[in-house]
Amino acid sequence: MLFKNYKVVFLLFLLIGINISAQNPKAHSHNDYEQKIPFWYALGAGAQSIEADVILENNELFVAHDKKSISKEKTFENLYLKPIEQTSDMNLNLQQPVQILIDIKTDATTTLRKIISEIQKHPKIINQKIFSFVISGNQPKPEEFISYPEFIKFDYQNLKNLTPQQLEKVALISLNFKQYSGWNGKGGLTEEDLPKVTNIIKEAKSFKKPIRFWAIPDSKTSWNFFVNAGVDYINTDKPKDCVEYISTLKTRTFKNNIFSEVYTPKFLYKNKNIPVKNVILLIGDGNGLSQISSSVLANNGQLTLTQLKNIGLIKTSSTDNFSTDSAAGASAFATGKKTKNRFIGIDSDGKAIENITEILSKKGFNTGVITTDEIIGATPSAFYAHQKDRGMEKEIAEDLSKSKLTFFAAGGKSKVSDIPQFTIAETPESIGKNKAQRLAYYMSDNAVPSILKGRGNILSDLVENGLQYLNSKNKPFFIMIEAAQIDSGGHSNNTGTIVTEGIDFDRAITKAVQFADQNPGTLIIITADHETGGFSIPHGDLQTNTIEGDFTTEDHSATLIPVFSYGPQSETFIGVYENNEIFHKILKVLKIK
Amino acid sequence: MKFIYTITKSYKVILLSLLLSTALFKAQTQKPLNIIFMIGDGMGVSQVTSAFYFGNSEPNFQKFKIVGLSETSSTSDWVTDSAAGATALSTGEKTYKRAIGVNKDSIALPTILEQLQKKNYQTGLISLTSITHATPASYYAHVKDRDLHEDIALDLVKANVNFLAGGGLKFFNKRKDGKNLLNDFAKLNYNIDTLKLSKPVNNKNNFYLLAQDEMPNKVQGRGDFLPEATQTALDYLSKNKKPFFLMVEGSFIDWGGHAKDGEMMVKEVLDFDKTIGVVMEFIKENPNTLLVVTADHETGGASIGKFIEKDPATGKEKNTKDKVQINFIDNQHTAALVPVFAMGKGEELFSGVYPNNTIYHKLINALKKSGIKIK
Repeated sequence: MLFKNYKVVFLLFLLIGINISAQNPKAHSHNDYEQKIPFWYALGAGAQSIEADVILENNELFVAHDKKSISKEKTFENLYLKPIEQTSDMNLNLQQPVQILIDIKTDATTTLRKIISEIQKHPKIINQKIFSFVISGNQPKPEEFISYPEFIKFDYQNLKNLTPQQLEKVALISLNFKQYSGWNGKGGLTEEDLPKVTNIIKEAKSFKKPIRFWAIPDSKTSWNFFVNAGVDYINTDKPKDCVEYISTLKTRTFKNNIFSEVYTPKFLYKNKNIPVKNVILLIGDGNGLSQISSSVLANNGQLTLTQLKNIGLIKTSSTDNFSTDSAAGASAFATGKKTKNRFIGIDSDGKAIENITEILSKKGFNTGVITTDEIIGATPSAFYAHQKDRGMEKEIAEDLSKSKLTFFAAGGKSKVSDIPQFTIAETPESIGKNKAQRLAYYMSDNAVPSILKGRGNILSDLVENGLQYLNSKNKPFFIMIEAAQIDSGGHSNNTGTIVTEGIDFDRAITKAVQFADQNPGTLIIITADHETGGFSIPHGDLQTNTIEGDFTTEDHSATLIPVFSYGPQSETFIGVYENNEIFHKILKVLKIK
Repeated sequence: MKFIYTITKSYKVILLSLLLSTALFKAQTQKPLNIIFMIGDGMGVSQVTSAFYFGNSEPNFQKFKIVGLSETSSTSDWVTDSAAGATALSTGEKTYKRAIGVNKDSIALPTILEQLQKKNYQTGLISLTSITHATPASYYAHVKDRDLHEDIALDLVKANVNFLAGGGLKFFNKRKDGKNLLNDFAKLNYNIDTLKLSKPVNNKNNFYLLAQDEMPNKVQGRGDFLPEATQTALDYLSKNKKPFFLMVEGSFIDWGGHAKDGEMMVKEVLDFDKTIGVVMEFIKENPNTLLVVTADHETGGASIGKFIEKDPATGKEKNTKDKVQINFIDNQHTAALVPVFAMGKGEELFSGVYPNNTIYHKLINALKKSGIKIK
């Protein structure tokens, strides 16, 4: 349904992205001498090309844009040659090659002669391998290129043919972007400009030299375009931001290849007053609205989740921090009280609070937990443990053996000693028909692998079987199901992890919704504990299911979190409210005080 | 009809007559619905969130029961702009970026404002930008590019909108074609004020053009223009017995994102929230009203996170617990789903997740339910 009408999609990606992509895009610090700290700032940022405009005046080489702005101290030697020498004196152990692009503003021959003699005053510079010198701006004719010393190369600003010897002296090809397009760096190039630019790139590429455009717009959208178009040096006044952007582009861009088959819910509960019997609470750890949006886009425009009608928004702050962590977030859901970050099932004063599995088991409910985290992880443990720090793994594991849970499935077997109360299931498939009084299943000894590392369909298999197992006991049940690793993608700023774990979550949601359609009286609530990464989606392509994400942080954010609900009384969960209200609303619909 | 099938057959006749009589009764008591449509330009869920952390009191956003999510892509790019975004909301069709009130083949589409004028509705538009800017323009103009401000102004002369407030004076009286459109408006029975938000004249259309270009933003000291203009419009439009459609745009939430200016963004969101409060008060007194609040897209990839500052003593970065900060990824629009909030008659139609253009169709449905015959 979503995006159904969508046909014309990101021409850029289709035309260029796939065909010629630069292997290793590098940042070029444009007019570097205008930075607060020339040379060092760009070098520290990881720029691999640094531009110095030089002017020969009174037999002295100054770095400046024009004669008016010459300042006595800002010589080529002071700003560039001496610092280069220092890098080897300081043993900085630099790895990446860096080119100094010298843009000659005065007469080509005399200025270049002076540059050469200045460099030759520093034999250490000639002998090092990291920094190279490339002459741009006013330069000698190509026929004269070969007469210059080994350590001098040229920036060719033309597409006329050269002899092989001349070509050998060329380090890169630079072209004026303004000649081909007046693009402002927002959205995309116009339909007229795009072929002009892609054709000229193709032509420049035929020289088999790195290429650069000057006078390009200096924005992320622009950097994205030129990287995908196969340009090697990205011209920028913001070397730090640009390096960060282009070096993370790979981990932030993901072409999706796993899908959730969208199920259309039947909404049989509508206009019927069915009492709530079973409650399924699904938590996508770190699954904010942008995360959900990215899964929607990568899953051909829809999810089972987006078929649901009742939506709410929750505020997730903990009592000691605007941005909650998973411990305080899950404790708010499990106990109905907001608490401090790191606290598990205790209030802000450290007092244990009865949690929902304990309350409901007294009322004759079976209870369960499924997670793609270790069983002693913060989210699952808030549903059975009471400890003052989420890191107290041993104590939390002891709480597990004292818990009221009927069923759990998770990773982290090695963190739990013997729990004779539970029968251990061998396979996910054996869970559904298992007659054990209490049952557990371990997915792994330690951490559960991610979808990208081959976890496969196990979460939805466990949900299907776990629900069947609990249902076979002919008593009402409560189960918490966590997709734990959407959060990991936020922390590691990895778009692929967010998208695949989000889509896997939807496969689990599908099983839950199908169960609810077959078992009237089942209420489903789907939410998250918080958002992770300050994630958003500035670019992408629907036809190839490609998402480029971007992040403001490696930590959690405080943005409002969506709540979707399905089944009888699900309208109780609409509106805008605090995260701990979820607990009270569940007890209210179950008519438990 | 479906309902009747589910009932035992013997009761069919009684029920049918019952239904008929309630339908008749309804027709007599039904009143055409007032619609107040509020667009927070660039207002994604993080922008809404800022109202919860930076306001002095509980935000009005918290009072909504109905929340939906809108998918905002355009036909030319899945990250949309305000022109394609507002046109989808005003006409019910997704279109290309930069399009104002035209479909993807540049053919003019009727807008909800124009359709309702034919049903004897009063109409109003309030914006903080030029009244010819993409969002308000998409309700009355039909041009193929959003930058054609002077053409858009010509369309406004013909539009007969009863209440207009915003900026953009220069597109009316300092035009390349030398025309002074203010004279045309005066001839058409408009009361024009270019100085202040004065008391509207009751038997005239009222047009407040209070800036050459856009109005100042909150940081520059706009004051309470938006809530006051909204209150003025509601007073003026409700004096009449006729129903009305009013669009109110919180324009600078977007501009805050474009400028990556957290302070501006937050102040603009709070101003918008205050304006929502004005409308909610109106709904209490006038229950035959539907309020829908949404956005055309998200701007800036904003998030609200921990406040990290350098400890002056140690130089180490630390997390200051009682402060939050707004972070942006960039100064441009993103493709995240945006929230939809609804209150009043017909609010239930706005639950769920849907493409932005269906919001128009939901409004039409709500109008139909109130007895308006409209396609």
